[in-house]
Amino acid sequence: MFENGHIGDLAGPYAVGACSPDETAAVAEHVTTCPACAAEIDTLSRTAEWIGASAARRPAPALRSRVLTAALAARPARLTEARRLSDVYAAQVAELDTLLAALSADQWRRPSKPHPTVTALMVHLSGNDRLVAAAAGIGGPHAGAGAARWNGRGADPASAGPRHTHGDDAEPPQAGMPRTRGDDAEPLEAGTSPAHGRGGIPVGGGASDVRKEWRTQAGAIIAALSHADAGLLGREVRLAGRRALRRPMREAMIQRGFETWIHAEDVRAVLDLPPQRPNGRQTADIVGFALALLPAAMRAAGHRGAVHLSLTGEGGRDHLVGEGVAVAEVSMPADRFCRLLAGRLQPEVAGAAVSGDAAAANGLLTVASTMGCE
Amino acid sequence: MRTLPDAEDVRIRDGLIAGSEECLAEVYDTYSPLVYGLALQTTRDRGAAEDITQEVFVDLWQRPERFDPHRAPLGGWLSMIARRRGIDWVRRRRAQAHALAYVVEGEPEHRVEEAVLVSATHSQVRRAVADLPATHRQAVLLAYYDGLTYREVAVALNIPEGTAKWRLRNALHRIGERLTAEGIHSE
Repeated sequence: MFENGHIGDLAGPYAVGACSPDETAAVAEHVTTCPACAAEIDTLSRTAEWIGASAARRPAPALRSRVLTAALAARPARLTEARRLSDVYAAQVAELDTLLAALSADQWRRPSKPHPTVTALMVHLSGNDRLVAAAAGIGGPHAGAGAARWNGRGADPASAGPRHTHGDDAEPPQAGMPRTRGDDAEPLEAGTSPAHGRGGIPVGGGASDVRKEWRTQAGAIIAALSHADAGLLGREVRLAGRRALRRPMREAMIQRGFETWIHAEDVRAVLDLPPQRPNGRQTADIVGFALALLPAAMRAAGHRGAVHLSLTGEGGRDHLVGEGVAVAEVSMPADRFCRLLAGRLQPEVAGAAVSGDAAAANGLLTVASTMGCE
Repeated sequence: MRTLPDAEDVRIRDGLIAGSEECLAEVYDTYSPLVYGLALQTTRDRGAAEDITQEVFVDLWQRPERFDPHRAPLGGWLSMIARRRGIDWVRRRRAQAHALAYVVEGEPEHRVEEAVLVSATHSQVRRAVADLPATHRQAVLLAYYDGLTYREVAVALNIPEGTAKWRLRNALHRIGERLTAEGIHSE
């Protein structure tokens, strides 16, 4: 079958699957012990794959749901998208809750940039979470009660000392959160608006209540989203942040996990604990979420050139931001990119390696640093 | 030589085995143009190509452990299955029609049809195939898209079996060398 002990011309037919079954088996056996023939088969097989790839053709869009529906009918999903997204969020919620439990009364009142206190930070987070909660149908009749109570306590941070115990509070459990900022629910912005502004949000209100309200709402979000169907995951939600973007719930959930992580980082800083990265999968989600928004944000900021962004480490990827030929390249660790997005790193100290058109590269870093939830 | 397994392929396989709906969607979004394109190229029938695409992804979802990332990249493995199913479909049709002759009458129309996915790389590959000597090109297309063995190629082209083998090997080397020279076939 072979020539001079090697597969010879059979390498060609083998690479395109044109040998008889006996020959196929013999070649497969031979290459396990012959590096020269194995290398040729590898080269020719890759060429054959290129030929196949050159035939690629996008199927009709309707085929997607037909195929996915047929697949899920044949074998139901064990790990749904909804479950995974809510699990990622739930893990960050649990982590942040544990950190909050460790804060002393004094630490609750410490500044956590850009927020005047940790309490204000948590009010801010709850307000942003509420965008998702409301879209998921959580809240309703109780939604305003929390705000009323906080308002009643006024702005004196000492008026209600932090209570870190659970379950001793006589307040009825509430899924809703205070509608702190009117119907448009613009996120509380300590840096750009009066922190105690509209609605008289008391930034130093009862820490225990703030924590409990946040945690209750977060729990309701997890419960509602872990069994979300495609309709709910696709429902448009206003994202937190200055730009008032509307995106599908699945992206809003990634943003909730992202913001919860970054605020856990804020609280770790108050507690003098070392920073923690999100895991690779969450990092990849955050990166994907941000990269989908970046081109429009770049255009809005007047940047035109395409930039090749190379995000290294777990959850990283290579991506061309914008269209056309890249005029610059930016390389940085993916987790630092997440911190940049959150506004926790300034572009100039983000540790990015930049080449090519510096203005385009810096434009990308600057725009990315304004995309957070603050 | 490329190194297997590819980390992405392992991640996708693990996700499919775990029953992750997202991985299913991801694998469809990534590979459906490849699978559908090959099925269409072999069958020349849109309905058949859609059915094959569905079968390929439903099978992958039902039995993801059959894909061994140590043996082949996922794209190559799915291409092989799509092509094989396309070829089987054509053979069944031929058997039904009692049309058994492998007659080569010039270049069948579908082979020069422009694919919708026009990337620079794909165009270069198509040009490299198109620029082969006619004898080589026919051998490659008969083996690759019509699924003929090299012996069947020899019969179809009325050439010795040894010549058919050599043409396939030589044609692939020529294409590969050209793609390497054009910088798209590197490691």
